[in-house]
Amino acid sequence: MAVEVQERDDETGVRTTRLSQYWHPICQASEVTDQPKQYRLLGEKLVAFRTDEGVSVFKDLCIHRGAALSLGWVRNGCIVCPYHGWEYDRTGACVRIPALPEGQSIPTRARAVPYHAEEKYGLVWVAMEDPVAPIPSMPRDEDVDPDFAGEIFSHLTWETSAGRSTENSMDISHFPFVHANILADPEFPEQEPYELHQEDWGVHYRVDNQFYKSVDGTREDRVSYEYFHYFPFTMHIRILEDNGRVTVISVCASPTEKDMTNVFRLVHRNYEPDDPNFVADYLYVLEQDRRVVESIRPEEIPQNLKDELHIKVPDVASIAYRRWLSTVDAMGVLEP
Amino acid sequence: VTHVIGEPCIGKTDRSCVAVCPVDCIHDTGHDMLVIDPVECIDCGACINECPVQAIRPDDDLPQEWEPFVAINAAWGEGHDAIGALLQAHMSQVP
Repeated sequence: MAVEVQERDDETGVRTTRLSQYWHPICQASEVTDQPKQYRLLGEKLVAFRTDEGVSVFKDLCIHRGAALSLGWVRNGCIVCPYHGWEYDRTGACVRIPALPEGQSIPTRARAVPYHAEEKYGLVWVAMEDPVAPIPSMPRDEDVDPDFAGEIFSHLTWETSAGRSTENSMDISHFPFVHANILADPEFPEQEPYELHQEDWGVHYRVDNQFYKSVDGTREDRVSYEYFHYFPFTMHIRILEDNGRVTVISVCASPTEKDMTNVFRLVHRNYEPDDPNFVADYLYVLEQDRRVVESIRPEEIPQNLKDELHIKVPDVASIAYRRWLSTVDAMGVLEP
Repeated sequence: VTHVIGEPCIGKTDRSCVAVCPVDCIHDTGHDMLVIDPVECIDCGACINECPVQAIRPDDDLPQEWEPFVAINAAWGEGHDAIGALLQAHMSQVP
C-alpha cells in the first residue's frame, strides 16, 4: 500500500526533499535476469528485469487491470504483462496490446511507470523520482586494490527503519555493551571526543585507538575507524590498522517500508584477506546489533530532536544526521 | 520547555555549560553573560549541573525575578545589541 504523501513546505525550509528523490539499492545486480522479480522500496512494489540494454525497474503494476508485471516475462526487450499480454518497452511505453483489433492504435496513456535504475557496486540502485544527489561514491579509491573489486558479503532484512539501522552503524558508544569484548572493552566505555566534518553529501568523522578482538579471541588489535556517512542511508566505515591494512565496509540500507529495511554490506580491502572468519565474525556482531535495534521504539527516528535525549560526546554525528533527516519527507512518493 | 540562563551568570560566564551542550545553543552575548537560544535548545538539561553558580533552569521552574531573562535569552536571534538593551533595561530596574 502506498504511503500517505505529506505536502512539501519549501517556504519554511522543512521537508524540502523526499526519500523518493534519493538513490536506494533494491537488490544485488546478479539477481536481476530476464525473469522479472518483485522488490519493495518506500512502501511501493517494484519490478526489476534485465534486457540486452541493462536493468529496468518499473512500478509493479499494469495500467490496464492492475496485474503485477513481475508475474510476466521479457520478450524482444519488453516486459510482458501476465494478464492480457500488454508489452512495455524500457521507457515504459506500451508497444503491443495483443487483443487490439488491427488498425487501432495504442492509447498514449498505456504506459508503465519507469524509475531511474543503475547498477553500481554490484547493486541495483533506484530513484523513484528525479534524484537530487548522485549514488554515493566510495570514500577513498586509492584504498581499493584493483584485485579486490569489493564483494557483497551480507544482505539482511531488519524490522526497523532505515534511519535507526543507519544510526546504529554510525554509533560507536554501543560497542562496549552490545559487542562487549569484541569491538570494545566494557571496562573502558568512555568515548573520546571526535571532530565532525559536515560535507555536501553528509558527515565525516574519525575515531582512533579503538579496541578490536576477533570473535574467537585469537586476534587483538588497535584500530581507527573513519566514517563517511552519505545521507540518507549509505555509510562507509574505513578501518585502519597500524600495519597499514585498510578495510572499507560499506553499509547500504534501503527503506522497503517505514519499519522494514534491507541492508547490503560490501567490503573492500587493500590487502589479501587471510582471515577466513571475517564474514562469520561480522555476521555474529550484526546479530548482536539486530536484537537491540529491532527493539527500538518508535521504529522511526523522531522528527524532533527533543523527543529523545542526546549527549554531546558521542552523539554529535547522530544529531547532525537527525537534523538533516528532519528536512526529508520520510516515505513520501509522488504519484507520477 | 526550554532552558534559561539567569542573573547569576552575569559577570561569571564560566562556560562549562558551553562544552557539554550537544547542539551548541549556548552563546556569549558580549555583555558579560551567556544565553541559551530557545530555538536551538533541545531541553536535554546537560548544562544545568555544569554551572558552578546555578544560573541555568528550565523555563517552567523559574523564580519570579528571573522572568526578564526569558526575553533576554530569546533575544539571541535578534543580535547582541537587542540583548544588551534588554539587559540594561533589566539592570536599571534592579534595586
